[in-house]
Amino acid sequence: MAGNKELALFVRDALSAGKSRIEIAAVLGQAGWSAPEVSDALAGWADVPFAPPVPRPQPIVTARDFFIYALMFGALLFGAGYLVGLLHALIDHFIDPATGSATYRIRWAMAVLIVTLPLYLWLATRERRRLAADPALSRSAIRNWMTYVTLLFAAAVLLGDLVAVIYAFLSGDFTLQFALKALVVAGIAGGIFGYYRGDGRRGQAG
Amino acid sequence: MSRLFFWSVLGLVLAALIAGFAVVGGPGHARAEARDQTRRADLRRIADATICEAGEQAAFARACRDAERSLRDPLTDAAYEVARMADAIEVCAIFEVARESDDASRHREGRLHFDGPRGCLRYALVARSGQWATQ
Repeated sequence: MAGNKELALFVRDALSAGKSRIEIAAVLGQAGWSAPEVSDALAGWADVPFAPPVPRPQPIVTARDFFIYALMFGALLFGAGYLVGLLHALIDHFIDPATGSATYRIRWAMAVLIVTLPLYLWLATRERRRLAADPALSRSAIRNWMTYVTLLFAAAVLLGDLVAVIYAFLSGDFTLQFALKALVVAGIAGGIFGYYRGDGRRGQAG
Repeated sequence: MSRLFFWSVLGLVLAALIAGFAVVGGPGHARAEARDQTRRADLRRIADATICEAGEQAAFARACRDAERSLRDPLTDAAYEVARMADAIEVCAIFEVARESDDASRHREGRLHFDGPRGCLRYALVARSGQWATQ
């Protein structure tokens, strides 16, 4: 349903008065409403032959969703950050063993991953099963928001990675070690972005 | 969660964890590393004590306060080997994991001289200044 109450009420009244959706869309277009606003407003009411118009279900916001999704996406982002850290430390160790501090970084990253990996996989699988059992749950507004926040993080990291690569190239520091590290960041951020972009679309469709 | 994504995340992280374990070793290896650090610090304190005993040296005044001769190996409880010559001091311990290759680049000052697992901290008396210097 449209965020604009006036528009939603107008559409409801027009549908109650027996106007067709095409007529309503045309008159709203003439009044200056944009096509997405009009289609959102019309989508707020089910297309069934019944009077008065039947509202479509609204996005759900629950405290439980916040807890589960904040924990799940937190584990994902935190774990992904430390997976990058672990792989970077391994690259440092194998390419330039003299750096020395890699041991401590590796141990810390391993400890974080041993906690976050099972937590994330368990929560994500559990939520996927719940959604499959009851597709109405995909209307969770918090789930959609968290998905897009994750997409934002992944996109920002990808862009930052690209900037770092260009900067390293321009300043002549583009070594094999740097290239591998940049590839790790791009692979992990790109994987998360690609996966959740599809998820975000499904969430919006649902 | 799609099957492909699930298995790729699991596979990637497990591979990284296994590689991590291969590089840093398990808890036993970490304890051995920590004991080697203790040995390294002990050798320095014993060398300081030996130098302090050798003569009044202002440069070692602070070091003399922390100096300690009667330290023992943290694992075997054996006394460290101390060799005192007129113009040289050598303090040695048997290390568990530390080796010359990973020591040289990290500890330029007062680095250990290894002969197999036996690592020694060596000081020589500089005749001109009368000071002890690490080798």
